[in-house]
Amino acid sequence: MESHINITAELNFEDLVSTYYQPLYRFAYSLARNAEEAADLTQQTFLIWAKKGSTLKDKTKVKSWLFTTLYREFLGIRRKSSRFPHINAEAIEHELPTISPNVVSKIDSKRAVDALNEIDEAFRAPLVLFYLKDLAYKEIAEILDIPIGTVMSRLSRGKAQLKKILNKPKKNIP
Amino acid sequence: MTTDQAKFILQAYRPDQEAANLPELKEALNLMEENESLQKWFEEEQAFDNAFAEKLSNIDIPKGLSELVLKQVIAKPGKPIEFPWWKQFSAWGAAASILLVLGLVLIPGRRVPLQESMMTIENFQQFANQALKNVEGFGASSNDWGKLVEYLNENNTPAPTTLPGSMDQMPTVGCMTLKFKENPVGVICFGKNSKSHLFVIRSQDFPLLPTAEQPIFEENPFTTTGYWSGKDKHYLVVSQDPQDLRQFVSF
Repeated sequence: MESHINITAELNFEDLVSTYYQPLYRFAYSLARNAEEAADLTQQTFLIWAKKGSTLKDKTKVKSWLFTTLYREFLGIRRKSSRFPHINAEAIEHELPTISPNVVSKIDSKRAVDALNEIDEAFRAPLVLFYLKDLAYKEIAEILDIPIGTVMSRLSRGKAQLKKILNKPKKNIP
Repeated sequence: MTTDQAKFILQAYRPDQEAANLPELKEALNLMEENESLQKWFEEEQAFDNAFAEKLSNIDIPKGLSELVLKQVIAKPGKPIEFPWWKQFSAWGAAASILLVLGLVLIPGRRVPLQESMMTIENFQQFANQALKNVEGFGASSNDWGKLVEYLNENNTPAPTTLPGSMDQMPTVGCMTLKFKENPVGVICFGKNSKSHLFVIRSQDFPLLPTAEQPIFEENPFTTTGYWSGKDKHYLVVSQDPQDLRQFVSF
């Protein structure tokens, strides 16, 4: 269920934290796969809001702002150790592996996050945001700074990779 | 549009979203209306998506995270005191040759790789966390704060002069010298099981860092950090055992 905050009223920090800390943490955990780092990223996001949030003129974009900030913080940490793979948009393969929902229902959240972590970095963030169901396509596009069409393309390719990973024997997923 | 192309597009479609303005999606949706097998495939896709989304919604949230986020912004100040042994410290200057006899083990300082960015308290914390993950071993080992301070001073590395509460009463384990943006950082590891670490830098090396006359402690689910400033230094303590730290420092 998507959570909302009354953006017509003056934004209250406690309300903001109460409304968004859970989806932000889940986003962070899905990216970092580490509870400590996810908690740090969540805290850091709200700390940055406390310092800079007043500069956001369009308060309807507070949710996108928070997710964008968290994502940038995550990228800042990761950028030191690795660069994103180059994506050739023309090289999309229409490979559509099938997987039964029953297979998914048998795995736990940790294995779901582990599987997401095996997906190419460029596809992982849109897919996580897609499955968290907190954001519209337009918002996902804003956060990732890519057109909506590219979001859709990455979602589709990411899902194809996810299904392949989930179809692998369990021992292949660390 | 072929069925496979439609599947590729529909695979990314969430019915509760308004993305139908994309012409390719409209075409895929129209194709699905006329194609029963595509409809059945899409229903299975939705079942898969819902099942997977449920897994992410079940990710456990650390207990008390929201309270800690709020505490972070509205941090409680503590009261710093002058570090008592510092005034006596000149007496240590002549005793350098005795330190090895007292059990100091000297290891050359090392560097921690760092990203280039403007220095903020957050950068300082990131540096400390990075160091704790990547650096092993001490430059000097001792259970005496004074001896470790002596070692840091001898190596032209900032050493603590102002500590809050009774932190100086906590047992020490060792110290090390690091570099942050080419500037020296003194680190003292202390507390029960060496789970607390004090990082000291010179204010003049990081002029953009804010001065905190009162220590500001922040707690999160895994570590507690405290930041404060002395006359010419900034301090950051990172503790993985806040209960131990709390016995000596109120926050």
